Parts: sequence; C-alpha cells; structure tokens
Amino acid sequence: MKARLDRFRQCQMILCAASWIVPRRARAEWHKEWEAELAYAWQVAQTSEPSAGNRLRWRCCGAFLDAAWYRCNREDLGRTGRNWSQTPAFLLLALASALLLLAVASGDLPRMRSILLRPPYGDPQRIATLSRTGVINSAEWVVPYSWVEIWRSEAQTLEAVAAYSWKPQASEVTIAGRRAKVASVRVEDNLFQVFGVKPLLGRSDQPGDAGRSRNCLLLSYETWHRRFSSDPNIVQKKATLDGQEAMIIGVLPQEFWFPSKEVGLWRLADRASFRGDAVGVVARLRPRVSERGAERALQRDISNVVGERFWGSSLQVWPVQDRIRQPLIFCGLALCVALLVMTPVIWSGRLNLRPPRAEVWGACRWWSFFGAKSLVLLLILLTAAVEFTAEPYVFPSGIATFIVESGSLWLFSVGCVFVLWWSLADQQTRCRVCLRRLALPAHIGHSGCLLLGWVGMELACPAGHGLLHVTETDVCWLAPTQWTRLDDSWESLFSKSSETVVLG
Amino acid sequence: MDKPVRLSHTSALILQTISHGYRYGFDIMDVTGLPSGTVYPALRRLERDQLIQSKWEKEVLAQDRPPRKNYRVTRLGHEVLTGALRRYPLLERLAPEAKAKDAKGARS
Repeated sequence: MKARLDRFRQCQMILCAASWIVPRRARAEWHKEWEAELAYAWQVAQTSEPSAGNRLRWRCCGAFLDAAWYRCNREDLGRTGRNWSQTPAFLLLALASALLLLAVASGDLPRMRSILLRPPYGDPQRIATLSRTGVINSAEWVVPYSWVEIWRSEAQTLEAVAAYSWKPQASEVTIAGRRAKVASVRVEDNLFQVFGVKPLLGRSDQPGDAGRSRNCLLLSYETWHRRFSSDPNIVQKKATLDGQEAMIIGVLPQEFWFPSKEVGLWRLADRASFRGDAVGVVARLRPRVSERGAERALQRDISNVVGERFWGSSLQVWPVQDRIRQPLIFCGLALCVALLVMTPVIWSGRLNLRPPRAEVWGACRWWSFFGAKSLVLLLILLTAAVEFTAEPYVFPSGIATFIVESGSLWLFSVGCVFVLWWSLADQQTRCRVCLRRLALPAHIGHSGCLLLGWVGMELACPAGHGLLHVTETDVCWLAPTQWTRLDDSWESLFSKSSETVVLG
Repeated sequence: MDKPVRLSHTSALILQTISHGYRYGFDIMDVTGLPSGTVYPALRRLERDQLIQSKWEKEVLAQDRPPRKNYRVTRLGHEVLTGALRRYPLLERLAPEAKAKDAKGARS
C-alpha cells in the first residue's frame, strides 16, 4: 500500500515539475486538469492490475509534452517573440551575434589580428621602411638601389639594410610536377636577417645563396600548406619558376608575411640584379636610435656621397608596426569626421534624447545602452571594413591597394555617420524608463487643428511607462518630440492588453 | 476567408473518439492507445480550432476526487469530422462507440 502511495506521490511530483513549463497565466487550470485525471485514474487503478501504477507514471511523463505545447504554441511564441524583440537586451544580443558571425565568416579575424597584434618580426619596433616623401611622381615609397649600397657601407644608424622589388609579380612555380600560381617578390639574401625571422623548414640567411643560384626560393607557410600539401621534404627540391630552374631552400613560419599578405614566394636575388632599379628598402635600426635621428643621418649620407639635395622632399624612416596599423588610424579619423557631422544634429535638439532627469540610475542605464549599442555597431563596421577590404601591408602592392583602401575609408566614413544616426534614431523611439522600443503608433490631430494642438504621431511604451509625441511639421513653438511620463495608474491597462489569455 | 481545417489522422481519431462519447483525456488514451504526450496537445489544438469545447465536471458528480475536465465536439467539429471520415474511411472501425454506462457518465 505504501509503495502504491509512493507511486501516486511520484506522479504528483512529475505533474508539479511539468507545470513550471506552462505559462503562468494558464498554469493553475492546466495543473487542475491533470491532477483530476490522475486522481480519477488512481481510484480506478486501485481495483485493477498492480502494474497500473507504472502505466500511470508513464502517462504523467507525457504532461511534459503537453506543457511544452502550451509554452511553444504559435500564438504564444509569436507574442513572446514580439515582446522580446522590443527589449534592449534583444538589440544588444542581436548586434553581438552579428559581430560574432562576422568574426566566424572572416575566419577568426585574420586581418584584424595582423593589424592589432605585434608583427611577426623579431624586435619589430626597430624595423623600419626607408622611403621618400614629397615626391610628386611614382618614385614615392621607393629609392634608387645605389642609395642602399651607400647606407650599407656608410650608415652608422642602421644595423642591417635590405632591398626588395617593390611590386609583387604573378609567378608560376612547379615543384615535383605540382604547379601553383603565386605572387612573388625578389629580395636580397639578408632580408630575413633584417626581420630576425627563422624559417620553419630549411634556411633563409646563408650568405652567398643569392650569388650561387639566382633562383633560391622560400615559400610562405600558406603556399606550402595549401598548394604543396605540407610536403615535409620540400626543402632542397628542384623547382621551376616561370620556366627557369630554381631550388626551394626553406619555408617561412605561418605568421610571417611581407610586404603584403598576398605574397607567397620570395626569390633571393643577386645584389647586382638590383642595380639601376628603384627598390623598396627595409632596415633594422641600431638600439636607441630614433626615427628622426636616423632620417637626418641617412639623408646626410646620401647628400655627402652623391650630392643629392632633398628639395621639397625628405627621407622617411617609418616603423613597420606603425605602417601596418595605419588603416586603424585612418578609421579613427573617419570616426572623428562622422562625430563632427553628427554634432550639429545632436545639439540642434531635433532629437529628444534626454533621459528622466530625476533618476540617476535611469540616466546611467539610458546612456550606457546608447554607448554599448553604438560601440558594437561601430565595431561591426570596423571589422567589416578591415576584414573584407583592407589588406595589411608594409608596402602597397600597387595602385589597386590605394583605390581599395580609399574606397573602404570613404565607405567607413559614410557607414559611421549612418550607424550613429541609426543609433540616435533608435534611442529616440525607446521608452525613457524601461528602454523598450515604443510601439502602438497612432496619428494625432489634423492639419486644420495645428494651432490648437499636436499634429503628428504618438508612440506608447508597451509596459505603459509613457508616451512619445513626434510632430509631423516643424513649428517653432512646439518641441519636435515630447516625452510624457504616465503614472502607475496606467500600468494595469497596458499589462492587461499585453497579456491576453489564449488557452488551447 | 477562413482556411479550411485539415485534420491529421491522429487528430481525426481523437475527434471521432470524443464524438463516440469518450470525453476525458485519460479515457481517450485508453480507447485509442495513444500516449498522453500525443493526446493532450491534440486536444489543445482541436480546442484552439473550435472543433471541441471543454467544460468542467460538476462538483456533485465528482465524489472524493477533484472535478475532471471533459470535452465535447462542436457543430464545426462534427462537420470537419464528416470530411475527415471521408478522407480516412477506416477511422470508424478504430474508434468504438462508448458503452452505455460510460456514455451515460460522460453525458452527465
């Protein structure tokens, strides 16, 4: 008898647990129905077979499915969804999800990480590019190779200096019958020494490589992994590069890139082959040498040896770390421009953004939400601009880089204005108390009654905290928007309308 | 214009069972052999679509136990059931008529 009663108690507990799934407004009636069925079935089962208790318990487990139907039926779900979509948490969650989606779609933000994290070079703050500024023709960014030779022999401020062909070239490399098209650059054999990078496989900096063979090649990790299936025996293999014989002497680490991420192959070249060319230059400064000091010293070296006078132009020593982070600086400037554009709109009073003054906590919540929303929106925009347009580079790979970069910058500027405007407009149509999006729009007044009252739109807080009046016509004696706080007596009216009972 | 109600086989079976006089959730389960997790959500849907109507049992009839909720088929429910029987002709054989005693209890 006691065991049977225990089973009855278990059934009651199952029903009690399932009842928590049912929405509160229908819970009591739902529980009453199931309890009544259980009590009746229990009475009947006392005179029938002993296994009835187990069957009854099993039946009570079905109450969970019934309760789930109550919770998830379409009308209820739709209403819950509508209510939830008006809350500030929903907007923040949606924006955070969009940001997360963007990060996943871009493959874990590779470009953003390249820009923000420390460059993959040894002691990167001492590595700098040497270029000319103020030159009107295309010679900007590059210098004559003869200058490199002068600096190599004369410069006291540089620890090492190396030249490279500034424009990546589309090449076709074949190794053991496998062919791949990659972007390649010609580099001096000490370039990797300047960067302080050790290859993942093979070697990179044995002096005389460039002299012995004109085509000693180093592969990027990406090329090695994707095009040559991470062949561990690739070093010392013979290859052909654009129809010429070559040899793979090493594979660089995964993080390494130079001068831009698209380059997949570096060809060590004889110094003599650079003579007469305009080249890109990268140098490692001696410890405790400032960029400005190096600029003056290097300029003096050139003036002393070749008599070059830097009229209207100057030599620029630019740390690679700063050069890589340049897009972020531009984005910051674009944001400042957007804020300047938006400032008159905010100060004009066109947007009524004032939170309830009396409540400090309310004001903090109001502005925190606005700040968080705008910040996440700007982060989404910045991530999209960096990940899908800007290619990090030490040296631009051509005019296309400038066009894409300028285009992306303009888009970012316009995007910033749009994002801030949207954020302000959204804030304006939110309840000043609970931050829910205002709903129930209603037209009020008509043009003929303009002098007697409002002509415009009225929006209400779904929880009944207040009304927002928005004028349709701008007139000097009416505020464009006006928030009217409703007292607590209105709350019951709003809560009744929002909680219409739908059973079954 | 209202969308015509199309019943699934299970819903039609439950509706047929109620129309035969089995008006309580657990009775419907006994007759049809369907589990509670199927019968009750189906009852909710049928009631939502106004094919059945629920009513609480009178306190007087419920001796030593809480009053149960019973269901009866509405006029619309009968019309829809007629259509469903044309669609599922074997349904009538699956849901037997309630015994006189049961039916009497159910009608009360």
